[in-house]
Amino acid sequence: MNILLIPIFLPLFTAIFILLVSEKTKYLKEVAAIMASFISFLSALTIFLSSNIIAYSLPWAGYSFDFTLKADVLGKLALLFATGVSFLAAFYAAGFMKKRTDSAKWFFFNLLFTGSFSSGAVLSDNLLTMLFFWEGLVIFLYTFLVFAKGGRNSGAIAMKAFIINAVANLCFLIGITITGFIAGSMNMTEIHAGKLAVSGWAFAAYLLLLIGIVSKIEGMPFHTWMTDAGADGANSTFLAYVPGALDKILGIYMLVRVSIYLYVLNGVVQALIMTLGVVVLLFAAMMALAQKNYKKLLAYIAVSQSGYALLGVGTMNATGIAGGLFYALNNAIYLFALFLTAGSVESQSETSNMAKLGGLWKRMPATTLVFIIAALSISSVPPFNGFFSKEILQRGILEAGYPMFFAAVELGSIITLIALLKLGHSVYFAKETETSLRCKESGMFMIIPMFIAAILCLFFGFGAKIPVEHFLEPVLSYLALEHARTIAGFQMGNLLLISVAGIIVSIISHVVGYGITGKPYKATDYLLYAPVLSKIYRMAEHKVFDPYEQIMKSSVWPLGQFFSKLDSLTDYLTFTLPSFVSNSLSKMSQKFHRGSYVLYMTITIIGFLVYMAYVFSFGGIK
Amino acid sequence: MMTSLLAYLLIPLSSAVIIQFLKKNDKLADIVSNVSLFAGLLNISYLIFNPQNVRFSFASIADNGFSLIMVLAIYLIAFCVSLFSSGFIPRTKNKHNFYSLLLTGVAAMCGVVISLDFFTLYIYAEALAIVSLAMICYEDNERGAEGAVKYFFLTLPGSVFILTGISILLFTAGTFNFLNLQSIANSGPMSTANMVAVAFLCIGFLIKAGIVPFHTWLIDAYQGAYSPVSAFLGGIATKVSGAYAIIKIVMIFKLFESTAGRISEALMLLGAITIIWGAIAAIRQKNFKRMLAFSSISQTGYIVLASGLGTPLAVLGAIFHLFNQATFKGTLFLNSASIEKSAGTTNMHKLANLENSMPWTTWTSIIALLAAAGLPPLSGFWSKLVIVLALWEEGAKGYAFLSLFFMLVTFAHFAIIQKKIFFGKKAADGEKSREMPVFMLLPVVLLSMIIILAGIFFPHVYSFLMQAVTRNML
Repeated sequence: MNILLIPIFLPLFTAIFILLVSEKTKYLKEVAAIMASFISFLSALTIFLSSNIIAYSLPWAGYSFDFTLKADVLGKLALLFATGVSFLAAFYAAGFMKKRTDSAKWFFFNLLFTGSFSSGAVLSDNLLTMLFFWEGLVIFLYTFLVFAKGGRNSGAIAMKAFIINAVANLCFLIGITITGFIAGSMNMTEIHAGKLAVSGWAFAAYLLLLIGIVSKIEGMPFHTWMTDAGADGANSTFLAYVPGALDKILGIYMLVRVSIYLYVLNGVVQALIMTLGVVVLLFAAMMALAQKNYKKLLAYIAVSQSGYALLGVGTMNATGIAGGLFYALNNAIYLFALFLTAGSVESQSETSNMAKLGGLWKRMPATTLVFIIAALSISSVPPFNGFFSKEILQRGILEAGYPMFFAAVELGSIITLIALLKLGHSVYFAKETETSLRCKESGMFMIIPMFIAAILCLFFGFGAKIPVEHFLEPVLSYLALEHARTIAGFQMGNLLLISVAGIIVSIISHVVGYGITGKPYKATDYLLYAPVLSKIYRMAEHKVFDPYEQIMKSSVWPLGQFFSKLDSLTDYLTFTLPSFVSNSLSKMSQKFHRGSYVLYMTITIIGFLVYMAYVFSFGGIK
Repeated sequence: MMTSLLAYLLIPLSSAVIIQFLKKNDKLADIVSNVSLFAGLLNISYLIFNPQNVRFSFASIADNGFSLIMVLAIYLIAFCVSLFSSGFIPRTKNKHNFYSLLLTGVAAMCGVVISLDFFTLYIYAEALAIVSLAMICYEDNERGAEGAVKYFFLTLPGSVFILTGISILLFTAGTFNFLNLQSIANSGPMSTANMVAVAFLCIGFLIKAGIVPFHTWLIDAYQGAYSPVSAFLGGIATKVSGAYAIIKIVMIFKLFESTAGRISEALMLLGAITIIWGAIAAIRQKNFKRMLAFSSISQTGYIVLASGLGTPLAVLGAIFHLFNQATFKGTLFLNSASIEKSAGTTNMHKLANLENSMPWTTWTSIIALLAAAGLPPLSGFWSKLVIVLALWEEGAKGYAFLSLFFMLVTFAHFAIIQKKIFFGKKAADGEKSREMPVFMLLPVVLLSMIIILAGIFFPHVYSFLMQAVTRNML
């Protein structure tokens, strides 16, 4: 038995087991889910620590339709983080799901299947195997959202998520088909041996793959389902686990895999990815400013974070890619932690409306602490982990020669900090409200995963050398990216000074905003009424930037009319007419099959004669 | 005879004799019948699927692969029918006689598939016909007797034609032996007299396979027969006595490329007519078993159509479809027996919503129906796909489209059956029905598993069948 199969098949079988038995037992599903995800994590750790490349191959149908797994350096790293967050999410859900009305059984089922399929996606060495797991994840995304009955429109949002991802995945599928066709192989190791240059059909293939990847990391314009889900009150564990952590890991893994491992990019594509990254980063961060809902604000922050990773990989130099990867890893930690604090607060107060919350630090000190650490990390305040990933990223951008984008990154982290200052202030430190009076600290099952994530934030910050040396350096050397400078560590210099200046700007902005309105949750309102911004926000409120809603509004109704006409025609042609014909024929045949022996015998004899005549006539036998 | 496979004939035959001495003890008869069939099933499965063979893509199988897979199908269906009957047949009904007949039938079928010349094949096919006759009227009622009489008299011309063909063959070619005939066919264009013989053989076996317009006996026989017997007949017996021989003739004489192109064309035409007639006539049937009988005819049409084409790929598709049809028609007929016993009727207007009361029966039937309709990745999809591909490759595009189109009509059968029997609104007869005991569910579960597995592991099945076909058609 190959160890690579454990993180894929153990959660799979456990999920089916949970579905079969959990009705009659009380804690079995929690125990089984935690155990299965923990064992997957341990095996991922073993795979990570082993020095040689583990591979597994099961020939299936030939013609490169093989089930091939390979844990190379990049895959190993993604697997370690994916199984890690799966374990923490299962642990957290054991506490969180107790208070929810939606079915815990289906939640764990979805969680384990998602974990299993994401392990499969990062381990696959064959593009088709990878595609199977990658597409499978969309199904569980849908079921996750559908079964989270907390929200009012969970069904509609699930459908929205499904359609958006299905369209993007269709692009991904076409991209993979073209890639396999051009390369003449579906095996990634073989394609890597002769990397594809981005031109002609390969360019189209790469762009299609990029669409799939950007949709996976909830980059714009594929993010809308996630922010809707945040506003609608979707399950916080789900938000933390899938769009918060896992999708970022998978998406960035795939981005690096495709952009560096399979393709050789040129300047045009590079500029395209970086521009996309900056747009995502700034726009989503700005949208976060306007939010007054805990989870929706975090959802926009999560979208903006994916911009950093795009930007990092887009630089195409070792430093920048290291920064982008580091962002993806840190993202998985602090976004996860932030969404978990949202879940913790929500499970006590039953709301995530910032106006209704306040002064929770007295009643929920542990949650508050985790929030502070994670918020400071995500706003790249030194010396938390976010700062180091930002620093490395900015160096990479300067190396690539895009000082404008450097400024954009700085601006992004300033806006993020403003948004989080508003959030933290209003939820944890403002005056207590009626709702917050009934809150108390969450249970151990929820506290422990939050703390683990917070500790990792600190650890990756103060000891930034360790992840850089053990996680990023091996990947860089595996991808054969040459780099001279050491890229880790805390260095006094211009970058630090700029960051500190950015932090000061953010704090001033918050104080000013708070001073004007007197309510912490309105601290950013003065920005919203700024000349150009106000228009953009109004448009965003009317969902102008949501292609899904736009397409639904503008074209679905006329198309619906057209299809309904077409439908009644095809209905007549394919149903009414054929069933009339076949029914009458069938009736005729019934009349014929009366059971009369003489008739039957006659037909047999006639049939024989006709057969013989056919065979022996018209020069049949020469 | 292939002496290496003779044991598969002799053991059930001796079990059939032994059972006659166990008149007093039905339990013991159950055990003897089931154990001897199960042992044979295990044995043949190991012969084919042992890891060594799988690893070398079945290149190391020494015997004739076609016979092996037929023996596997025979034992599979016979074991399932036997296990099912041990729960189905009440004590009062002389169970041991049923087992004796079943085991004799298995022996006769094995004789058919392991014989190496047409005369032996004919003898065993006749033995099988007599056993089938006795089995159809096993239940002492009017319908059974009617079915048996029709079976006997309407297939009689078939036997006559086969005998005629064999006699002509003896005079013209001087041999019945497959290998000798094959070398004659390979050595050059065949004489007209030989062709006349082949034409007679074909029509004889077509009648026995129940091809339209010679299908009339089959409907009444299947519907009137005692329920487990329908499964035995519909699952395997008519396939062995009819379709198997057609495929064998095609393999030996390579009709499509020789002077006998007309026979090949006639086969394809009759196959296509059968597909159409069976599928359309099935639509408005009121009785579940009768509908299955028509659907079964339609499926046999695919086999004959592919054999008529006669390319290696088409023959491969025909053989695989033969095996698949055995599994899914076996499942469906056994389930119809369960429904008959549980709800007291197989009239589709009186049944509905068995989904809740008989979940296992329902879902195994659904799997079998979907496989029959050709839903990927179930086994039926692959066999039909291979047949359609083979037709397309040879330029018989009209037939290819026809096959594809009637796959859709088979979906309509599924749609009708699922609504009228398994889902839909509750009906009085559906209410009181109960799920069968485990012993009677095991066979259908086993068969549905095989339907699924044969579909998933199609690449392995393909390599096995390719070996068998190329070795036979060299």
